[in-house]
Amino acid sequence: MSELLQFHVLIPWILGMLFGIFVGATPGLTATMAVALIVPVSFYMPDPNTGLAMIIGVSFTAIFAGDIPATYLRIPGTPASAAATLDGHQLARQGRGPFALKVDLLCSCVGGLIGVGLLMTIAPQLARFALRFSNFEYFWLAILGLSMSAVVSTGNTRRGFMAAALGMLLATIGLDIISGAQRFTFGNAELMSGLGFIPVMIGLFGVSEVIRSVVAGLDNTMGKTPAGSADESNLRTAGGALWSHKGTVAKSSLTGTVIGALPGAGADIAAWAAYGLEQRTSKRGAQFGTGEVAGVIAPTSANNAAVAGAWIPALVFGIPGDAVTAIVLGALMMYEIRPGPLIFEQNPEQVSQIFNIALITQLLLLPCGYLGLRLFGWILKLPRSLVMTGVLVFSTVGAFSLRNSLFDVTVMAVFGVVGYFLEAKRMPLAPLILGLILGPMVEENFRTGLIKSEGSFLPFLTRPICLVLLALLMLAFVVPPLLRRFKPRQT
Amino acid sequence: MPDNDEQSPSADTKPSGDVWLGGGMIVLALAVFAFSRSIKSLGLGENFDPGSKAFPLGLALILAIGGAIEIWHSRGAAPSSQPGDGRIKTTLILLGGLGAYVFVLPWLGFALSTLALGTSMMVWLGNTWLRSVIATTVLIAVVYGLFVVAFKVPLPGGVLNLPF
Repeated sequence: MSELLQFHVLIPWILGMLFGIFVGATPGLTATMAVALIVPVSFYMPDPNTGLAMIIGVSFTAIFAGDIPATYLRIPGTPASAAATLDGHQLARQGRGPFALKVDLLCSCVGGLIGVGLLMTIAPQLARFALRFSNFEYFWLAILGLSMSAVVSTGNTRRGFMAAALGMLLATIGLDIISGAQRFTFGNAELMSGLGFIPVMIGLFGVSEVIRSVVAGLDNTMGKTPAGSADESNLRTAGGALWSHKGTVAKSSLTGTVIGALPGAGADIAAWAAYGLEQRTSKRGAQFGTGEVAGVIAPTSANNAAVAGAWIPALVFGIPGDAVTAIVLGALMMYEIRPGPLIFEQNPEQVSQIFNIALITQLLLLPCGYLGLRLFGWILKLPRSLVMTGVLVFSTVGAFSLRNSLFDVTVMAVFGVVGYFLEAKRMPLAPLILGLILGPMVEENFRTGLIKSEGSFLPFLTRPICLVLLALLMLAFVVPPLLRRFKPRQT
Repeated sequence: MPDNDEQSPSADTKPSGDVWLGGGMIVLALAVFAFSRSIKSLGLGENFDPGSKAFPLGLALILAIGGAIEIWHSRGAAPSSQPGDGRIKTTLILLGGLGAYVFVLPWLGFALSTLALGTSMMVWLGNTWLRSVIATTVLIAVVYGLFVVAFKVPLPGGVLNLPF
């Protein structure tokens, strides 16, 4: 851990987290975009751990920062912050916005710490169990992840499945990993190694957002600066509120971690589920939506815990829990870190560094988040046209810089347009990304499994773990609609 | 200046089929079927490997079926609101600008093409020329400091062979 606490690591780490605060707190920019934009920068860090710290730091801080405009403006900075618009915004209207956000900050830290604690406890045990998995099980696991992401996606399930299939189809571009045959390369040497994952991500989440904002009609101001209030709360008063709701924090963090660990179910679903659970079990459930502190604590503890939870399937099986983790997973692969059960045996130092980074990030979130609260008024004063132009410029440089390739800039622009049109047609992008990441895993394990079984499909359907995964796959179609029932109707 | 004559696509509407989306998926699937013929594959059955064509074809089939269902579900549904003329114009100008930027990037280099795109975008979005030029120049300077100076990334210099 001491090597992480060096100036040359901490400074880019904190700067990365401040970038996460800026993007997360800017209405319209998402945590996914923050991570996609920081990845190219992280590759130029002299030490891989510094790069990893920046990426992991951004993923946690952007989720918290999304709660800031959700509270003050009732505009969630990220989808995971939507549940925070309910009671947080009501508190802000009562002049207690700073108090709500300080509670939120502490909850994000504690929720994140609980989530990381569970990740550190569960992941190694699960990895030992996962060593029993072969191609047959990995095939079903990847299918489970894809199906979950399609089933829980916003929009509708049919389009979720189409998006997943589209992502898998895009993943087939390049050299076939088994036969070496060229697929859809059209004689272009740059397509031999497939579509660059990061340029695709930057296009889908950065450029498409710029197009969407401009076409929808850009309001050049991002919102009214929150008015000053008589709220004289400090972290101690917020800590007192947190202590009196310690059961809610624990319950919501646990809910967040478990839901975050389900492939495809991200921090947004975790936050709504925790809010709904707390509303139904609290004695003051009827007061929820009117500025109840527990209504702030539950979703904000859960959303950061879910980010940690999403790391469990990502590290153990290489199956990302959500879009943010999918990008982080893609970045890990570019660092030549191959997630999966073997990493726990072959490279335990790397795993413990990832755990340490996630742990320290929660502690750094406190000062970085506090600074974000102070700077939010300044962020709102920035002209939106400047922010969008900046996103476009950084997207271009980010896409180019990974391989010094103008072809990647073209890929980014094309996927910016594709992402814009798909979102305009309410096609969810998260299953597309998971398809892109998991497509090769599905194909390789399916084909290798068939070669091993000499063409028989029976092992896919009769091995005990395969049967369990098949049962989970069926549950995947039943549980998400139940989880949605926890989502209260917005007024 | 972009206008705002249509509700945001993210507005909550009841899910229904979309002819354009369904049609697009079917066209994509047909393209995959056509281009798959050029894949040199071991073929079905050899070494028990379904071959390199199997997955793309299977996925194209899923997309085609999904597209057909989309079109089926669009029957009888209220037609989706059409974007106004102003909005189509905005989209085309923006996409044209983005395409032009990508096209001229290798010739003009990063600095000049970004200055042109950034300034015109900011002016188009309602800022003054001076403010737009200054803001874009500052952005380019930040990129130069971070990527060219600190990370040693050789950004495209163009035919004028600018430093970036």
